[in-house]
Amino acid sequence: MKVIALYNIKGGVGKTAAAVNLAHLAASGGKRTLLCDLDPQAAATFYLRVRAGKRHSAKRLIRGGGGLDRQIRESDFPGLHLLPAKLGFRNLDLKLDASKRSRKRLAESLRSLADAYDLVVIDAPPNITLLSENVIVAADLLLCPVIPTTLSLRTWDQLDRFLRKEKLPRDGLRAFFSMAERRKKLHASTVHETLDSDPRFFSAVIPMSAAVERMGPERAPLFAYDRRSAAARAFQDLWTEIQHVLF
Amino acid sequence: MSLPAVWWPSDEEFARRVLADVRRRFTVVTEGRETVAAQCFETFDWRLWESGLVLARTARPARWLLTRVDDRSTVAREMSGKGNPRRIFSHGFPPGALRDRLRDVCGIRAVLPAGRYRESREFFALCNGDGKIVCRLVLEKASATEPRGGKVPLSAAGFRLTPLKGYSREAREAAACLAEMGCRASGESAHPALLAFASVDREPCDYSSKARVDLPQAIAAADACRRIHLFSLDVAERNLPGISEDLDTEFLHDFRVALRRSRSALSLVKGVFPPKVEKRFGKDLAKIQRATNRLRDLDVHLLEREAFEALLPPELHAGLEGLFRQLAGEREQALRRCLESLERPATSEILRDWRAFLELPADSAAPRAREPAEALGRKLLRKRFRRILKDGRAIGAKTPDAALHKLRLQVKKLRYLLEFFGSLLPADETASFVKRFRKLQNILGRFNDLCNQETWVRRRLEAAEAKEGTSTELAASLGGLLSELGRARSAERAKFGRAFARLDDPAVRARAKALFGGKEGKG
Ligand SMILES: Nc1ncnc2c1ncn2[C@@H]1O[C@H](COP(=O)(O)OP(=O)(O)OP(=O)(O)O)[C@@H](O)[C@H]1O
Ligand SMILES: [Mg+2]
Repeated sequence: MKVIALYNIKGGVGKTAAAVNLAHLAASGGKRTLLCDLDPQAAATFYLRVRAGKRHSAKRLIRGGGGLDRQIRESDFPGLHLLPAKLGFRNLDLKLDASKRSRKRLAESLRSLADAYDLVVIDAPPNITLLSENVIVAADLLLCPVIPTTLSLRTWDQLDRFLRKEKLPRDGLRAFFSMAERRKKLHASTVHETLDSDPRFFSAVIPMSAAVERMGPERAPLFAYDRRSAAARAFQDLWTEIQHVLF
Repeated sequence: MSLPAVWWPSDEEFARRVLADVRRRFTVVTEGRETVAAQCFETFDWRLWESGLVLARTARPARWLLTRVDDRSTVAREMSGKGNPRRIFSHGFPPGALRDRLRDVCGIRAVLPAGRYRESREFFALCNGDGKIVCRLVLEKASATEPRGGKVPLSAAGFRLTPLKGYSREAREAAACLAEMGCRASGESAHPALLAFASVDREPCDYSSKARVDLPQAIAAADACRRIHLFSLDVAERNLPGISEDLDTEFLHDFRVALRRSRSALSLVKGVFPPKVEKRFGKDLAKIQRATNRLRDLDVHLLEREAFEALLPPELHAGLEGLFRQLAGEREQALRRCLESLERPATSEILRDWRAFLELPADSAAPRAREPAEALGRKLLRKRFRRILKDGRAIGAKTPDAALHKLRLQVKKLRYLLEFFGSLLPADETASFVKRFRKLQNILGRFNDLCNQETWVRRRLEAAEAKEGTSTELAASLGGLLSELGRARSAERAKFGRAFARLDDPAVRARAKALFGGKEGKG
């Protein structure tokens, strides 16, 4: 079982869109996939039309095993399951802080599901918290969507420095450009220069696209209603690159 | 708790009503449908079905599919050509997993067309208020199709309910809805191949050359014999069409075994029918069988090809090539002759008269007609067993081969008697007694085969040498075979002593005594 985590300190960069679409692509390719929504806003959960069970809680998430398995919901798409998020996850940090080996709890909890899945895709909330550290430890691939702007690139550097300082694993740290606007000169040159200089960036660039925005009203992954847009092809390319790295 | 997978309404119209009801409780989205049309293939004696398999050929895409009967999972698949074969041997399939499996299961029997079916699936998704799918429902319909494409009134419709993980409550609701509408739950759906079989008047395992006749305990000898003969006559007659169409060699083989079984019964169990009847049909059945001898001999030799090749080094295989080509030519002719004879009115007349006699109510004045079959059977078995012990003991290392052949026939007669009367004897004891015999019977059988092969090869060799222009290759191959067969024959004969000793053993004699009664040999 491999773990991909979509993560960025900055919010609104396309983490959830990427998590849902990559998980959907993996499942359609035959990988038994679990999309793990850790964001109390529960956007990924909403996209897949799921509601978390009444008994679902931060505590269950940390404990793992059968109790966690029972909270998993099968999506409408073959091979794609979802571990929903709920508002209660805002207390995750407190719960983690109170437990032993507090940085490794999420990794251990996910390991209890290792027989049932080939891939876990985590949609993580922004900011740097103890939960983020858990996500970083659990991930084989820490995937960071970056909008091609100066400010966004700054948070990417901050993330890198944070990992170094906290002696967190950095081998799996990778990035890709998200919400890129071709017509903006600045975007284009930023993409160009960064791809040349930073090998940790995948070369697929997800464009700003109305098709991706429609995921909200459609409440479905992009590929369920659109396979031809530039964004759909870009996600497909990104997934191909990721597979080379991961499997 | 797991839910039953399949729910059966009685027919499609009912299925539509059930679906309308489900729509009242769930938002139902149609997700698509698929249709599969397939032609089934099976050996005449159900070898695939008995191994839990179904072989079918689908039209679009054209491919062979070997599936398991129980869960319908795919065991092997292979692209298929077009055309309408009337029979296919395993070696007629493209190399691969399918061919290997068919060779193991079907052996030398051909698979034959066994009806067609059409199966359609309609996929429905049941959704909740969020538009989230909570359960899937597949309406499965299967029907048999006639060879000409028309519908035959054989069909089945059922719902397959697939719960989604995390939505078991909704699946239970859907199941309750089906149950309320009167659907019957079952673990799995029947294989649609059953419909195809039924459309050509077949039913799994409706033919077996081995089946034993089950006799009621108190049956009189004449009635018992009638049933035994009727069983054999049925087997013989059912094989006739396959012989005529020359589908595979086993039709003729089973036909001959059935005739021989009846002839043995006539000669082994004397005095149950009027003497005139015993005499006439003994002679008539032998006549029918004789007409098939030549064809069967050639079949046997043609089937020996692989075994012969295995006996010879590769450089001697070339000589066999021509031999088998020649045999195939001879077989064509033999087949024609055999069919001419079988299709003659005289043959059907014999079989018709024989059946008429056997189906007549028993009022025979024959001396043993009213004897209880059980006592008669035991007596005959006892005699035969005693005879085998006596003859076998007389065989030593120097005894001529002919004595072994005679003993083989004695053992065979004992086996026939056990087949006839076995159902009147305690099953377990009979089975373990038969087991004791198997080894000896196999050795004697192989020894006999080897002797026959040797004689045949020698004759072929002599004929070849007498003829001008015979290839040296052929002579070399036949010469090589002769010495290998001789070696194998001696090896087989050397095994006789030990195998016979296993039988001529106080424990076996005691068992025979318990089974057949009376005194058995001396200890
Ligand atoms: N490639 C894109 N083109 C256009 N709109 C996009 C694209 N990717 C994401 N969006 C839109 O931008 C918004 C934020 O995207 P998303 O929720 O994926 O980001 P996020 O990083 O998960 O945000 P958060 O930090 O709030 O969890 C959403 O409204 C989404 O529809
Ligand atoms: Mg998000």
